[in-house]
Amino acid sequence: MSSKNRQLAREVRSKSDLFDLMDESRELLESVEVSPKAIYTVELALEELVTNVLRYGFPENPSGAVVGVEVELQEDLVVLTFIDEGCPFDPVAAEPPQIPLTLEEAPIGGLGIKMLKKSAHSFEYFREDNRNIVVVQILR
Amino acid sequence: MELRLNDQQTAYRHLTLVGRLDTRGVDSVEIKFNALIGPKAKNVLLDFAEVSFLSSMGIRMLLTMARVCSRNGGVMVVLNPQPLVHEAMQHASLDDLIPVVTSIAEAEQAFPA
Repeated sequence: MSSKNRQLAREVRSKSDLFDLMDESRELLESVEVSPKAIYTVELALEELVTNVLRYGFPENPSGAVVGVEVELQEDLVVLTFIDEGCPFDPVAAEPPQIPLTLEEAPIGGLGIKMLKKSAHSFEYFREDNRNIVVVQILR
Repeated sequence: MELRLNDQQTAYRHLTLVGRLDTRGVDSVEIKFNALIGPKAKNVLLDFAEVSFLSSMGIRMLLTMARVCSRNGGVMVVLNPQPLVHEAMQHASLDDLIPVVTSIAEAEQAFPA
């Protein structure tokens, strides 16, 4: 981590790497002026988006799954960038689960993306050079 | 993540969760959570006052147990979630399915006899 440019960049290959990244990100964000709500949303994005890639992004070689994550502090925003070479998946376009009327109807999947869409300032997806690129902006 | 069973003498299970209910937290607590509540659980009170983070993995754990309670004719109730955790529940459209209460008396009123 560089305190000068307030940026953190890591390659995540496992849940253990994700836990380390979440700890480091929290430490970075708590050291500067970032609201508790923004820290919550950053952690939600890290957990939900990285976990998705590790679980589903590399179906033919799950043990080779890797996602690059960058956490960047800007004046009014925290900007998260996720890059992976797994199978194409656009989380922004993914249909949110329907609002359930009963517990039996309540979906187990798709909730993380739904929660993130409601919390983030912006949420964008690009497909470039066979890579998935997801950029999440969170108001500080 | 910590999990404590508060009182086995009541007509409902009363558990307290402490920490972060994310992938790491669920990994550390889910087996104990399921064991303490069990497949015959009917009414469950989960004290959430000291839960500081809830992700979709935590919600999956809650939904699974809430369904068990429902199938047994009961209900699982969450007591005093922190504001950001409560908001996460609302964003997941969970608050209508798992009642949120602010006191034990309110929880006891929510439990079917």
